[in-house]
Amino acid sequence: MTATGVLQIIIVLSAIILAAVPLSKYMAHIFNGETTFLDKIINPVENLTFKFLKVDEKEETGWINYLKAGLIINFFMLAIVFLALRFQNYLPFNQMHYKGISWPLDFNTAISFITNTNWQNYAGEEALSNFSQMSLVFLQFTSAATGLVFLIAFIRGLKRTQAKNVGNFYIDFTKTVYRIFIPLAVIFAIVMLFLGSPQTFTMQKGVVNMTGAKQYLSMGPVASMVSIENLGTNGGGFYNANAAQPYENPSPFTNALIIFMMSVIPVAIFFMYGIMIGNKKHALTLFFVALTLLTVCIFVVYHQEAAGNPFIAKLGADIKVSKYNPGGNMIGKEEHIGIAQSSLFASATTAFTTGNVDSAHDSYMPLSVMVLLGEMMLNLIFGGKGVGLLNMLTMVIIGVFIAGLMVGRTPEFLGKKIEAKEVKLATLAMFAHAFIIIVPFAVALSIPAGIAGAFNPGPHGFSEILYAFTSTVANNGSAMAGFSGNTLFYNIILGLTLFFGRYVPIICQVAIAGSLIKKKSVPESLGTFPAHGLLFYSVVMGTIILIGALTFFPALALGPIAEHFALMEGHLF
Amino acid sequence: MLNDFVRSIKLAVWLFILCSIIYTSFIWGIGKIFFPFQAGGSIIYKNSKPIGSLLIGEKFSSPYLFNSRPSSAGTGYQADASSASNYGPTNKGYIDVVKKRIKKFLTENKTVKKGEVPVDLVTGSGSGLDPFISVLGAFTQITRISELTGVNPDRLKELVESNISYRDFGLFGTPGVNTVKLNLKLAPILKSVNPKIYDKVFRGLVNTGNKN
Repeated sequence: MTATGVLQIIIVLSAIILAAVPLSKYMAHIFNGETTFLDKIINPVENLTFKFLKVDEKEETGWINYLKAGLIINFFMLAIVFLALRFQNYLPFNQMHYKGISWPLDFNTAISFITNTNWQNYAGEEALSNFSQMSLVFLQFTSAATGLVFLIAFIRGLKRTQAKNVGNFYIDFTKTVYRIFIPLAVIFAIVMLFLGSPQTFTMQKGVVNMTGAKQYLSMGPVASMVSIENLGTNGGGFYNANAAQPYENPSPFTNALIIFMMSVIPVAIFFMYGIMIGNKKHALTLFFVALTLLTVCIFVVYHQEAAGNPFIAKLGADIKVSKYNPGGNMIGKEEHIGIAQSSLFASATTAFTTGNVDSAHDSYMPLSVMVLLGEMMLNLIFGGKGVGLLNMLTMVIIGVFIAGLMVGRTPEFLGKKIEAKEVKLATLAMFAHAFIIIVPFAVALSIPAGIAGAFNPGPHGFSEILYAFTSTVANNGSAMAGFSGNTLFYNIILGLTLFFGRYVPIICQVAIAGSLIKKKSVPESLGTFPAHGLLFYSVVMGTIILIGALTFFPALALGPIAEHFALMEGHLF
Repeated sequence: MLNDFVRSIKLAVWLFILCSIIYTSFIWGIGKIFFPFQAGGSIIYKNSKPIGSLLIGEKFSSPYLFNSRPSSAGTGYQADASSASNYGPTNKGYIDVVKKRIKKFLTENKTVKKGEVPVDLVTGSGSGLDPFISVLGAFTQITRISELTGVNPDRLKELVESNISYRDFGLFGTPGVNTVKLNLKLAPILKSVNPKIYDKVFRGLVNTGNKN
């Protein structure tokens, strides 16, 4: 670790937090139905859309209809993209004459993008036409918006008392796309263009290098994809190597910018939550819980990667950092981006459930892999659009319940009594997340088609398969990319884990909102457990660590931890 | 319920048109007007022929040139097949590969001692298309290139130093040297000092030169 490395990390994190403050205010205005500075431009388009949909702006529905509307539109969007990919050979912008995507791969890919995951069992530049890439961009906008509006429903469930309606799905959804994602995506796409990302409808350009070798440069509408794939915490890149490919991430500065793009909205969501429920202290406490976890993860990964691989040093490579030598574990990392930026990127992409990668996670040191897995297993260190905070609040409900049991009082949370129904649903959401990772993983390990997915031998291969299930269920989408997932077995099983990993927790969480919204507010008394401050921080943190550790520790012990000790002992596989 | 179906289909189709087609085309238009160089892939031209991209690395494995990093993109720096090697740190196969690379590097660069081989030159990048090598990686190759070609080592050192890409804004990333730029600048020097070797290694430039 170097001082410049640490400074880079601190500066990027500070920039994210500073920018999240005004963004959170803007977002709170949108969902509270207040005026914003973009009204003049967006209102006419929005009103036209509502007229087209025949939606009355005052119309609101209960949680069941809100959820139903969301799931129905998700289904149609999934169908559109499934067809666009399946029949890409009949559609435009396919100069390379790529064939239609086979149905198992298409099943996996379409679900992967509608669930905001962007797990990729294909190599973008070798399989998809530019039109298919553009179709995926559509889901990168809408899947992010879907997650965010379900969170809004949840927040209204907390805030409103003795009410029934959580809002209007179509209005919240349209506003999210029009007022948050499109403006930001346009701005950042232009910035990325300026900094070097291509934007063309040509798929390949053949050149003859100075040495006489032929090279075919893969291109396409990259800049427009890079901005929304990160802003929407989608992460599905244009290229097989995602943000390691220089066209997607041309310089160390764009690397920092991509980290900024993927993080700023999830952080702003925490602040927005505080504004919307009128309890900033509470939201700030949750923010500090997430920030603590994130910081620890970043520095463990950075420390591991900067230290490098002792085997390589023994063979004669210079892995010590110096003025002109990046040193460390350079395999799978871009030289100019370097160790600090790559470590920050890897931790951020798993915390914010983006899944975009700027370096090969498969070549990370064992303990780094453990941290990256842990971030996805918890899935609440800021997390993706909306769902991160939803998972955090689910954990809070469980934490408050446990604290209530300890003091023998009916647990309360923000003035609402937490009763059996909410606790059951919260436990189910949390349990489903773990269950959908661990059980299919165990199935995969017990059959040859599952074992065949691993590329590296020994515990590292075990980690690869575990990573695949964790990443898909957490709707992250990054991979230890040696893993070969484009088989009938993995396309289907991962398609299913993607699907259930996304929708089961969301349905439980919106149901909690539906249950909370009916309750009346209990006035605060001396005995009320405060939802902010150090005690609350400790309860939430304790719950997260206890539950996370108990659930996933055995799997981590057999994979990355076993590999770490093998490495220490000088054992190769 | 029926109402939801109709609204969902309408909204889904409209957002598809807006987010896929209108949005992408709008950014394409901006690129076309304001940033044609970047939008087209930062292509470098020599004698009005495209010879590569500033951003995408090339396979420089000849001992007369500044070598780029090992690559797992297709057959090596195959720009339509980006990929990392994905080797794990305890994979014996990986350690054996690095062992061979280090041995090769030490035979080619006699002045470099074991333990001083720049790690980036014996490990592949995440994309397999990294144009950069570390500054140390460039410096350690000077003696070899100088001995083989007859170019004065001080001149090569100057060349490397003037081509260092420092941290962005003095902060982001790690200093490095873009091998595409560096070797392109090496070409005229080699042409004047040792035209025979120039013809041999810069075949792409020689051919385009003849045609024009």
